[in-house]
Amino acid sequence: MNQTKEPAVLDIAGLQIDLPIGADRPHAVANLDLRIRRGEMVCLVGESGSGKSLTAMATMGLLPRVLQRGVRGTISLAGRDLLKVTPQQRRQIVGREVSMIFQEPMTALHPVVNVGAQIEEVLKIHRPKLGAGERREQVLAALQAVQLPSPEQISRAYPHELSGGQRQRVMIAMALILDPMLLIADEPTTALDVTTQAEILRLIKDLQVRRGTGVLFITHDIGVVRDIADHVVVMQHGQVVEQGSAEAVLGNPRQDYTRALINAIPELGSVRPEPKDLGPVLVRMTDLRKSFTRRKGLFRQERFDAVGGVDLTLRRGEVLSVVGESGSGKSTLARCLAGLTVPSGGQIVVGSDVSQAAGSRRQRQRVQMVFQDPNRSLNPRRKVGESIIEGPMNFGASRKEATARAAELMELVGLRPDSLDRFPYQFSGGQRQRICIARALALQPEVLIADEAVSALDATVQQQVVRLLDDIRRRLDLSILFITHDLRVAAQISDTIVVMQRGRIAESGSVAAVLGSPQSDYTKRLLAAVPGQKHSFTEIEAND
Amino acid sequence: MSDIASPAPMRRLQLDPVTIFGLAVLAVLVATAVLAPWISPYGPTDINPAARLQPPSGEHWLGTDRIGRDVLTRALHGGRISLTVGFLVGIAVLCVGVVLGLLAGSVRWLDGLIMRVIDGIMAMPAVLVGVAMVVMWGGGLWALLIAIGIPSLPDTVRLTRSLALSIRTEPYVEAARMGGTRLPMLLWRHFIPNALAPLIVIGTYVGANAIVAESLLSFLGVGMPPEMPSWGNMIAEGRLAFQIAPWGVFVPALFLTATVLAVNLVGDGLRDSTDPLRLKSD
Repeated sequence: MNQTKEPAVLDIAGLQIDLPIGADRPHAVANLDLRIRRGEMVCLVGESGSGKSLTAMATMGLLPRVLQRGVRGTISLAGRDLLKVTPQQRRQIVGREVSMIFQEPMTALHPVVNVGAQIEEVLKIHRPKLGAGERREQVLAALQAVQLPSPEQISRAYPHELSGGQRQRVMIAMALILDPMLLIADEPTTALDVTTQAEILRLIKDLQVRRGTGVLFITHDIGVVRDIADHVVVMQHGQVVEQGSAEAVLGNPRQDYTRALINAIPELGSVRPEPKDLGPVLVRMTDLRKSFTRRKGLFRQERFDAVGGVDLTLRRGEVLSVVGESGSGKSTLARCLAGLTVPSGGQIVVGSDVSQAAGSRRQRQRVQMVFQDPNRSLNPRRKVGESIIEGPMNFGASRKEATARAAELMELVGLRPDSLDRFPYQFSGGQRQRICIARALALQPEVLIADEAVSALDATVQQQVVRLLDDIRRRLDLSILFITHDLRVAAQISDTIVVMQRGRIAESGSVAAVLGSPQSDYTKRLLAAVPGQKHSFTEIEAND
Repeated sequence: MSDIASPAPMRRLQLDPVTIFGLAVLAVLVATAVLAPWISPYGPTDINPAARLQPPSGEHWLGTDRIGRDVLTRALHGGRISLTVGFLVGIAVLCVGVVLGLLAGSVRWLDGLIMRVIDGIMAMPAVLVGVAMVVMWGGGLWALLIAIGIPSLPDTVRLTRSLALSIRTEPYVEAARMGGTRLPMLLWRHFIPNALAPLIVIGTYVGANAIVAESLLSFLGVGMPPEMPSWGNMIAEGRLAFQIAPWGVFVPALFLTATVLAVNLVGDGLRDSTDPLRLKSD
């Protein structure tokens, strides 16, 4: 860390944001000090609800109206206190000197305007003197700077025509075209695949170092922090628990909370012990296919294989992870097994019963699923107890039996049995996921599918739920099909890993084999992209 | 299944003053319509040739019409017809429309069939259909209800269908399907409770429109029989003496406007207070 006398780009001192009366705590953010120098990358880490996004919003002046009145302290941008100037002045300063990129680039871009015009609009507002030709040139240069191939073509494209990574690059181009002093990035890679995430992180790091932009990078992923941060600020319940240089905080954390956050990130190396003897084959998929037809143009249709000929076996008591990037067909595979999607071809046999049409009521009972989004996987208008007993009652259990069983299951998943009478909104995301596990177990399945079941959870909660799944597997001798994009989580829980790419299996084998000595290039690329290994960015820093 | 009808978030209904005002107006209108025979010393069809076209006075608070009937009395009695029509059409359209919309949104082969019929209904001008039906069936309350109800079906069906299409992909619905819940129960337990809030709102909207439609058809002479004190009939008749006795038109028009406004205010209030975004924030 170079401690020069240069004024900080952003200097937040004693920031406090009050929450409305009746919230679970008095302040969303309390007594926050944070300083970003030129060309410095400050990572703000914390779990959801820790106040990290609100800090960014307060800086941008984008707080919801209810919170705006309760902001105290100073937020100075290059020496000017943004909380003291008029709203008009603030808009001007922030518009010119601060840019922000968001988690979901699809919703942050205007869907019916081509991206070139969207970037140009920024120039029109903030550099009104530029001529049309100059503007055009700058837009193309910006697209070039974010390493998009053929900027001409990209500038004419609409957001839906680009991939997630390309859209995020466009957002970055838009954010940097005015050469702002400060870039705020709020979980900019959370919605992206690992390989794309690695590229975007490298790009942001590169721009930070070369242009000297100060970056406030908000994330919940310690792995990402390890890759890019100069300075780390750890937040919990609206307060800074620990801050310091990246090496100090990550290498030698002083607070328990920081240690918990760091330990919650499974390391790729921490492969679980070689599998115990697995039971007989429980699920056998042969040449499973699922194709969809996409409309292309007015009359043409295009078939595309989401799953194109997959053979897979799952043994009793085995945890099999299917990993791959989005669009690799892993979720479609899971939905075929769950009976939620009818396969276009091939066979799925569960146990010894050969049924081509997966999804008979009988089979459904044997295969249950836990879904990704804890906010949507429980009916918001039904008590959670009702959701848990619904399945067993469909299959003939009496209400009394089913309720008694539901209470046992609640205990099994680590929740109080008396909370069966509550509604989903009274639970946290992790608790809801536990309830979903209880609901799935209520039907006494033999196979449990977890479709990105921990992806939406904070790292520490994620770890708890993964442990719970593993514990349940052992106790009930379940087989688990674990669908994830996160190799680190897969390494932690599985016996076997199947890597999927474009609807086919690229590689499969035991965890140690696949992660230890990957054979296919695709697996190698996925592994290299896993954040937290601190290898891919060293050359950039050396250039500085 | 009583457990379904108790969505907890709905219990904490917080109504804003405007909605409460709407409810109050509606309550007064309903009460005066129900109690009309006891409130007013006159009958709605009592003719008094001696007191024709009298302006508002202590005896006739809102004046009399061409054949000496008390305008206020008739307007109060007219509320009975209008509110009944609005309520019945609202309920009936909601019931039929929700069933059709849910089926269209959840059973693929029924979707095309139901929606094409609905498109057909939308293509016909509502007033003409109403007139034709009433003429065909010879008037009366039931013919009127059907004539008003059918043209207002499409909105409800289309809204329900679109709600069903988005609810269908919710993981909790998929979880229920995996738990072996069959379609009727799936619709009853999962679709309807989660679509309820917007449906109640469209129900109020359909009701308000039905009240207007009834007045319109009566005004055109194909609604309730002319001697019946419906607001539409009163406006149609008052029109003839408008220059001498404008209260004959204004009074029923005012009742009509107040009713429709109150119903819409209540509908908007319900929509706002059941907005999931508001519920989540606490």
